[in-house]
Amino acid sequence: MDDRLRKPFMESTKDMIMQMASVEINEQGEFLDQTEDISSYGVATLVTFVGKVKGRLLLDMEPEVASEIVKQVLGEELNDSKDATFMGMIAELNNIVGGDAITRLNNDMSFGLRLASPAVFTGKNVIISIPKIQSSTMECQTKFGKMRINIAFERGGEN
Amino acid sequence: MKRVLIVDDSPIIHNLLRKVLERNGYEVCGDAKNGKEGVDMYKDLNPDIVFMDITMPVMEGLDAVKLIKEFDPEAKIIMLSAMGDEELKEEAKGLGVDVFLKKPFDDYKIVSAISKVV
Repeated sequence: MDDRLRKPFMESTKDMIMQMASVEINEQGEFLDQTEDISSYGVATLVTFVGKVKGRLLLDMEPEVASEIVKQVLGEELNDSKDATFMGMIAELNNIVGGDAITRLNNDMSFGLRLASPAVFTGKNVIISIPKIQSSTMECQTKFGKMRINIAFERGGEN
Repeated sequence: MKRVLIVDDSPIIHNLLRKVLERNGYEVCGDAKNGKEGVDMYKDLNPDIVFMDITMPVMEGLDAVKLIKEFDPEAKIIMLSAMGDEELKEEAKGLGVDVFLKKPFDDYKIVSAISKVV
């Protein structure tokens, strides 16, 4: 996958989560092609986008990471990842991260992308199936646990 | 006290924005979950300021802006969206949006935007 497509998502994830929750995200290595299904860390949120190309952003994190983000943004401790407010906050996080990333892509590459509403899935080891779409994963570490960013573009993002 | 209508499909944004507005001396007079509700509530409540999201079910924010402006050309509308590319900003400006803000937001961003429109 073209690095110009996945880089904005990495930068937006780091910037937005730092701005909103003061949680630092450290990349562990490089983006790798995702060839197998993903076994979730516990809290996963997915947002799709469409324009001249189609794709999606998956943020997958350990519940402790999600809890810290929710606590920092809402100012209250919510540890039940099935709580509606908890899930709503994680969905909004992905909306903001995805929105920032596609803003960068639209400004730089004129893709005319628009976001759909995000979805949230909770449960450790939930399998996230990767259909026939090119996707890349960056494994990350925070002070509160692990996180991964998976980005997919249909036909690798070619118009 | 200026009265504000919030139009956003995220209850989280409603809660966070309401807190910011109330602690800065504004009254939230209505909470709409989509553009259509926003247009209907605007006509009923006649707020001083509208905060409008873009991506929403039923009716998107830009369509709602168009209808509100047709009803009241003097309506003061602040777009508050996760997206903010130049093309989108231009489209919003063309429809009469007063200020375009990108999420996330804080007190300063919200209060500064309001001070530009009232």
